[in-house]
Amino acid sequence: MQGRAGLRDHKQMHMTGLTARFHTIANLHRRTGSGSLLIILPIILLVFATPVSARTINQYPFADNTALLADATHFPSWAATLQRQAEQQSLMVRCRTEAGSGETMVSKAECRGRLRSYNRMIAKAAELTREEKITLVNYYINRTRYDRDHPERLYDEQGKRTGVKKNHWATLYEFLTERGDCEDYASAKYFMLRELGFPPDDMRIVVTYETRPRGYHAVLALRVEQDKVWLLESDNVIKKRNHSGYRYIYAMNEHSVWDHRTDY
Amino acid sequence: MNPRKTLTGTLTATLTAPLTAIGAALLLSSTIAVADANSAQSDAVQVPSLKVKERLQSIEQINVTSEKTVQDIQVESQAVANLLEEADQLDQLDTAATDRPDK
Repeated sequence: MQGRAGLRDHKQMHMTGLTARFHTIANLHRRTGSGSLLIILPIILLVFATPVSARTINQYPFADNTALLADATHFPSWAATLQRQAEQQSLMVRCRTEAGSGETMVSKAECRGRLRSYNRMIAKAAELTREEKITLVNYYINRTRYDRDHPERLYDEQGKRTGVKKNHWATLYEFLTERGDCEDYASAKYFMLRELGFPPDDMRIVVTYETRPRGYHAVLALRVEQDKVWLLESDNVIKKRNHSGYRYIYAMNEHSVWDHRTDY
Repeated sequence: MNPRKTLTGTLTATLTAPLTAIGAALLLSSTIAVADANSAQSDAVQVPSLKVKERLQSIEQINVTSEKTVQDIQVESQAVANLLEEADQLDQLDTAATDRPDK
């Protein structure tokens, strides 16, 4: 309810702002006379067009460098995933190039799961536009069966329990051959878009806190233009403008980790 | 009515009107720019007193589990729809288990 009320308030505020701007321009026109219409018209375009096109509700703060926390190598579970991803990349390429070629360097068991369809998508995506590629990746990855993480106990060298590893960040190969959960959908989209040539600096796996459904959730934030960010959701929705309802917690890509928490 | 005064008045109005309009536009634009900058600033987080390692450890403890129901949204691009259909066919052949059921 709070989220909906917040959105309504925001819309009302936005409408009030537009009305105020309209009155300002109308008063200006009254004072200066009809002869200045040629001057006022471009101003109307400037005032109305710029902020409306540039604004997104609660847009993920891509440019906020103060949230930069550390190099990705300092985040153990994610760093391990990046390392495995690099190691498995050659296997994925071999599955692609050797499949159906009669060579038996890779086994059928290694090239299992959704690897064949994935390789087909990568090959055919070259013919698509940039926006079509984004849509394809979002829908294709969301078609994988959901499988919940099983927390793993961590021990030190003496065998003493040190904590619990709550998230297992899957590589693309693991996701396509074994399934994944919430955060794995976001990371799989990241790796697939990387293979399609999207730069890492324009992508972040973002962990958010949401009230519907309540809990921590991961999405892929993609900067499509300088000030325009899209959120690729695991329910097939691509959120282009309305990012309300998300509380950004932390984010990462292959280079860095960002901490967006204000109440740590 | 003094014709000189009327002419001066008209000239003044003609000269000041564009300046007033430009001034108003600049004022409006700068107000909007400042408002945007302020809203961006409010998202900024910097807690230098806490060590980076502690923050990373606390991040690692967050359990990311929330699941969303897949929505049956029609794809606008026919090329993408065709590719997804092809992927479904290949996946059905290769593995029935990894297809995500609609929830």
